[in-house]
Amino acid sequence: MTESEHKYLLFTLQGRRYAFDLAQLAEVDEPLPTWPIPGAPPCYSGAMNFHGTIVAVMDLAAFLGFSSNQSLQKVIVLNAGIAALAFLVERVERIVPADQVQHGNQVQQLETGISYRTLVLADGDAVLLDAVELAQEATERIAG
Amino acid sequence: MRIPIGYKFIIGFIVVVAAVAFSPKLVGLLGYSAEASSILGYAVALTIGLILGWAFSKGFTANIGRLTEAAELISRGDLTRDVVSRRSRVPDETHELAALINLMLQNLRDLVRHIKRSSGQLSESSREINSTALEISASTEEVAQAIEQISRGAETQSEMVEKSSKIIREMAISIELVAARARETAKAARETSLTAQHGSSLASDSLERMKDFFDQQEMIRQQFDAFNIKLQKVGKIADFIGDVARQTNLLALNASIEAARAGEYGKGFAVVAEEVRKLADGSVQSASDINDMIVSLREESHRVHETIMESSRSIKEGKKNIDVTASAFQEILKTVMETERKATSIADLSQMQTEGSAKMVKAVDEIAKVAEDNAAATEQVSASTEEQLAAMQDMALATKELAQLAEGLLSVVERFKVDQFESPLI
Repeated sequence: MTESEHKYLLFTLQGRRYAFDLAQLAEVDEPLPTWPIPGAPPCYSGAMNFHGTIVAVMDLAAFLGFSSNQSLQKVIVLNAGIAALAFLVERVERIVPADQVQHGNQVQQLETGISYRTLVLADGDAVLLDAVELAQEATERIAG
Repeated sequence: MRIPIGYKFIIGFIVVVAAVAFSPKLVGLLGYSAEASSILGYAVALTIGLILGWAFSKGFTANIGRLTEAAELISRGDLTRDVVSRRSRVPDETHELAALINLMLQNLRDLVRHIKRSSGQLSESSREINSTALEISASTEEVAQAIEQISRGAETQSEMVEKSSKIIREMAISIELVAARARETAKAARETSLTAQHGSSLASDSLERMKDFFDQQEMIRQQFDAFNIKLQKVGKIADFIGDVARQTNLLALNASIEAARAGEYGKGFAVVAEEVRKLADGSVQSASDINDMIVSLREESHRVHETIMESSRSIKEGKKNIDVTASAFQEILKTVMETERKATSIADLSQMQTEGSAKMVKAVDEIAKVAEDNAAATEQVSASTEEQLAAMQDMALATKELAQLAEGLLSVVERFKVDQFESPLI
């Protein structure tokens, strides 16, 4: 896949716009029933049945260190190749092709240490998260 | 034996002559000298003649003296004493004269007594008449005053009656005015009654229209309910469309993700998915717009409903007012009819009063005439009493004169003394 063929999914958390690379995602769904995961950190909402696969559901805002009290309307399931992980987000905005955005060159870090890049759009910026890094961090947290 | 006095004188003379004649002879018998006897005889004869002559003349003229004395007394007015003639066996004219004088005295006494008595009585009577006349005069004056007062009273009465007549005439005019006003009032009441009837029918018409309005309002309410139910249905449909659109959107999203994963092969599919997603977005937007519109429609209809309810409440209040107005008109109608009846009755009554007052005017005019007659009559009476008064005064004067005359008569008669113990006036 070339850079120009990349697409990004825009969604919001705490009124701020975030983005994932579409290639790292499997599906977007309405939140499904979840079951609690024993011994997991509080940012995990539980586990759900995703087309017969057990996927851990995480409150992304809580994971990123924000308070999460907004209604979480959508669940974004990651590509099974990365992790059996899904993120609860507030609202999915749209898919934007890569030719409609400009990448911020610098990789920046959130307070929790998670790195990101900035996507510059015509109607405002978005925080581009890397699903692989998030999966690694989540794994570390469960292990930790 | 009556012998007239002349004869008595003759007899006396004869006796004297005889005595003179016989005296010298008697003296001569005594025996004196002739010369002495003749002288003595002459002297005796003269003496005897003188004595006899004196005695005879005295005896004969005694009664005349008494008569003279009596006549003198009578001339002086003393009628008390009768003439007492000397007793004589041989009465003469003097005795007769004395008896006649005594008779005359008696008659005079009776006359004087009678005159005295009568003049006294006359004087007294005239005094009484005078005092009575004076009293009558005083009474007549009082009567005159009283009549004067009556006359004045009659004049006052006449004036009062005239005033009364004037007042009654004015009253008659007032009554006429009252009658006119009452007729006007009756007419006004009739007009008011017509107006009130018109108002009452208008109020009834308004009530009728209000009933129609309430019926129509009920219909509007039902239509609103139907409209709201339909709106709800439309809302549900729009919700359903929205749901479908959202799911379509999600499907399109996932299709895009799938297409992205498929890489080059999924490119066309991604385009389709994007279009589907756009359509779904549009649908969602439209559904949302529909919902917004429904909400606004609902609000609008709610507001309209509220407004209608509000106006309905106002109109209900208005209906109450119109009810009150209608009943007020009914009351007015009743009162006005009563007023008309009363005013008509007042007009009739004042008509009767007018007739009565005309009669009264006539009666008062008659009274005025009678009062004037009375005044004239009292004036006549007054004149008559004045005449009477003058006559009485004349009478008093006349009686006074009469009394004076009586007193004069009495004083003339008083000169005559008729009783022993009263003295003559002179």
